[in-house]
Amino acid sequence: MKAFKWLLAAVLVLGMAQAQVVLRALMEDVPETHIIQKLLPDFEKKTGIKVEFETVQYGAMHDKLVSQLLAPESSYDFLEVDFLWAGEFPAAGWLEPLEPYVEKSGFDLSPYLPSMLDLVGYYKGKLYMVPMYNYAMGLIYRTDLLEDPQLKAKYRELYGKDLGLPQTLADYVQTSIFMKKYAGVAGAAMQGQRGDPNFMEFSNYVFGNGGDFADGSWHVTLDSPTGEQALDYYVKNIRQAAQKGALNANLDDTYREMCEGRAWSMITYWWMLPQINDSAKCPKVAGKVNLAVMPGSHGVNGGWGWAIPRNSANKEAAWKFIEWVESPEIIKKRALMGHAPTRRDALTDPDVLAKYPYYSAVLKILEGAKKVPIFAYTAEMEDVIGREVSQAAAGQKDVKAAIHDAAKGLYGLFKKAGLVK
Amino acid sequence: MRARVGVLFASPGVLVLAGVVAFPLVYALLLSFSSYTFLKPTLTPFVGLTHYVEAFHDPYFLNAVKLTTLYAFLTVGMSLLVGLSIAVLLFQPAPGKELYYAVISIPMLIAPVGVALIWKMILHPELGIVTYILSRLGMNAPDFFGDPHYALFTLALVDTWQQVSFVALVLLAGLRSLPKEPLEAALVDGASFFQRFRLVTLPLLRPVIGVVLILQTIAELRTYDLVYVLTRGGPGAATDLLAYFIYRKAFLGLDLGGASALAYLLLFLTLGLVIFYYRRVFQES
Amino acid sequence: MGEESVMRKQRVLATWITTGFLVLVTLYFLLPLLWTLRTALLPEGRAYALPPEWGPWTLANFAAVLEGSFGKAFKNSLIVAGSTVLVGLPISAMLGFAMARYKTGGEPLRFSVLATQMLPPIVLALPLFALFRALGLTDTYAGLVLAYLAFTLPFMSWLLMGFFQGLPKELEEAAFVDGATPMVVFTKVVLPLSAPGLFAAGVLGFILAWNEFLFAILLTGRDTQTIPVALASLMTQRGVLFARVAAGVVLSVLPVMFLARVVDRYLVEGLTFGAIK
Repeated sequence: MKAFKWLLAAVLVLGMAQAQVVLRALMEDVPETHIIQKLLPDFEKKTGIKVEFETVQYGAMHDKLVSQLLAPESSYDFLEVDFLWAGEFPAAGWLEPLEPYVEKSGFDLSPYLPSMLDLVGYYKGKLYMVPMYNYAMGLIYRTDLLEDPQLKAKYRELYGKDLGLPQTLADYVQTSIFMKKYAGVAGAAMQGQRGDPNFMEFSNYVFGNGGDFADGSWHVTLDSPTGEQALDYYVKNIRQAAQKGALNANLDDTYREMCEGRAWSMITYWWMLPQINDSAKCPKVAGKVNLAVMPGSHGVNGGWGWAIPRNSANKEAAWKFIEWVESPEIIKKRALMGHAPTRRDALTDPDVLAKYPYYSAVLKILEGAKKVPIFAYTAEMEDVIGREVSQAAAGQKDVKAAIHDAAKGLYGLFKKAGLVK
Repeated sequence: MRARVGVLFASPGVLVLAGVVAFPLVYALLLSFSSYTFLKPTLTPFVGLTHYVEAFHDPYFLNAVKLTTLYAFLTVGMSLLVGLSIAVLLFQPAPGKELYYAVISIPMLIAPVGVALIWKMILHPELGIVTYILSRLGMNAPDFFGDPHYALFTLALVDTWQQVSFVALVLLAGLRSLPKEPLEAALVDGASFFQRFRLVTLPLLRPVIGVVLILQTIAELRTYDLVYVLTRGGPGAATDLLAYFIYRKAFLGLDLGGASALAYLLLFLTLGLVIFYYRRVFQES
Repeated sequence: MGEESVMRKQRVLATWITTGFLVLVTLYFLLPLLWTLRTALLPEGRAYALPPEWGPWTLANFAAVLEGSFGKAFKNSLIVAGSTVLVGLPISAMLGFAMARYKTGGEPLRFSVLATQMLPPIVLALPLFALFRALGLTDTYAGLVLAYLAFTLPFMSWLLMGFFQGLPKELEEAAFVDGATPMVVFTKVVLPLSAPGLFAAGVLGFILAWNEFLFAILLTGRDTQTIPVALASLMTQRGVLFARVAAGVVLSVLPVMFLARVVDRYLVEGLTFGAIK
């Protein structure tokens, strides 16, 4: 009986060795993934490797990934990693360093925008990921309201200068409040719900005002005068110009505000633009909105990166996939299908620009995009700082106290993560 | 011999309970004395009472305790008052009571998540029907979930809408089980409806009210679903109730040790209130 | 003569006032429910249009919701709640019987069983989460059922204990005299007699498991998510898809409403642990 079992096992193992290599990955159920799925047959034809995606909602991904990364052998051969985890995963030692693979196959990293490589590429100087797509934040605004002659006249009367696309944070908040008063719309559709929504939105104010959360050695700079002023502008905007219910609003709520024509602007992920400019989805404002970089030229960067788990059984094959999906030819195909590019070549390709003219704005956004602190406790940071921002916005704390407490909380988290003493 | 039979019958149940209740409870206690985090998932090194002490120095934890206690008093108080009134109404002779009873018993059967969603839609600041009706009446609807002055109260109202259903039915059953003689005697003595209620019914109903008080306090102190769906603890920290606060400490703060300590503190708070009510209601005559 | 008619008038007035208030109260509960139903029956964009619209009616939202993740959640909830009762009820019956007839464990056991209902779920949820992760029980039916037994088992045991205590002992004693073993007495005499109580305990346990949220959101994954988890994610992923959300809520309530009507008599007694009959 025992001999038979060994024989069976041997046959199975041999059989498996002959079998086709199958790569498995956990992917978010969004259009970006669907685009790649359409192109997968091409990969299989070229390499004979089959790729299977398991698609889930974002909320389910982190825990599922972590349990596989902790296992002896991961059931996922390659990963897409959200920038929020791009500190946690390398810090825990779960990702395979990719420089050897890059060198061996001569993979060209130069088209990637530096901000993307910084966000979802390098960690502490080593390469662990290759950027997959980005979702940086910028300003979406109504062009028709800026061109309205009555509003223009009123603005000139009040402020002695022309109504136009704001270039600084101060100008932006001033224009927003103006729109609320005189254009019958909310100046800004703001997602004030405490946590990821308000934290991401507020970070744009910090960067746009020329500030940052911390410097290169993890010293907190959030409560500098620039940071405090950024919170002051944020609070002014949300209290005087935002839509009703802003303090509890999330992304979908703000999308609806813009779509229904009830707001002049929103600071949001740039991929919202095609959603709002869609005449089927948002007939009231389609064709009347445009995209620009966050006033102050620096907004929040966001994105996903490809990575290979250290405990994957098919690392070489996984790298082949990454090489293929990020090859110039496939990148162009993805871009023409609506992929959010991370590379200069995709963003400046004439065919792509013809289809998506606003990509020139996206390029500007990506060039100036900065990242929020990425480390083991990024998720908790969002909650801690989001709480302070929310309290300031609700009038429960004054700006000075709130920014000070936010900075104190951030310092505590850096300390917890062992980044500072 | 008899005792052995009893033990045999009880053992599957006791074993399961030991496994899924007692053991996790003990493990949670151990966790609360440990430095277990999701980044370093080991019990050692033990840190003794550090988490407990830190909790009392954390203004946000104290805020959560204060809010949760206030919330429990609000919801239990409101649902008792309204529930008692409804129970009294249902106790009076009137036609068609089965219909009222059937409708009134529905809300308590809905999952709290469902209740939260229903009211999220109805109280939506722009698209909700309540906002619309108020605006047609010329009034400006408050920002139910986004205004820090209203948010907790709105939560309490939504919760009460559901809990009143349960409280009313329980108090009704209590009313039905009361002996009839004292009430009849009071009638003969010429007491008015309100006098009868205050001097006869209420005192007799005291044990039932006590049970409701205890059960509802336990339930309200552990409120989580509503916060998760409706406000996520905001605006600011206005609805940061304890159960949600603890959940965030574990899954955002990745600190399972600290969160377990807080969970035990919540348990002590619950125990404390239960014992307090029990003594006041059942051991005073 | 006159006094009687005054009293009659008073009674009629009292009835009118009572009815008036009862109607108000019923509306207070009914209107939000009806509103949800209305919203579920309208096409998506119309569902939250203001002024409110009253047609065209459609069942498309129910279909859409069932086809999506919610359909799977429905199945999962049925499996989990059903299994919890299937596994838990026999065990609870035996435990309840032991506590009722054999006084096993005396006061301490009875108190412990009751005390488990006092535990805030979060106290159990955290260690269970850590333990399940280590044992690989997250995102499994078995894991969630085990966790649900933590609060349904004591609940059902306590209920059944009360029920068994109310049964006349004579029939059991007669069976003993006839030479039956305790197990036979239990299965052939006691259980059939307590069928209504068993049924009530099972239904109440089912409802508890059906509506539970905290354990579910921590211990399930995409494959095993139950209805409350699916409902919660409906709102965050689909911001303003009110019609779908409403349809989901309606669907989640229907089975429970039906079941509760069936065990009406025992509802109050069960949910107050027999304190109020």
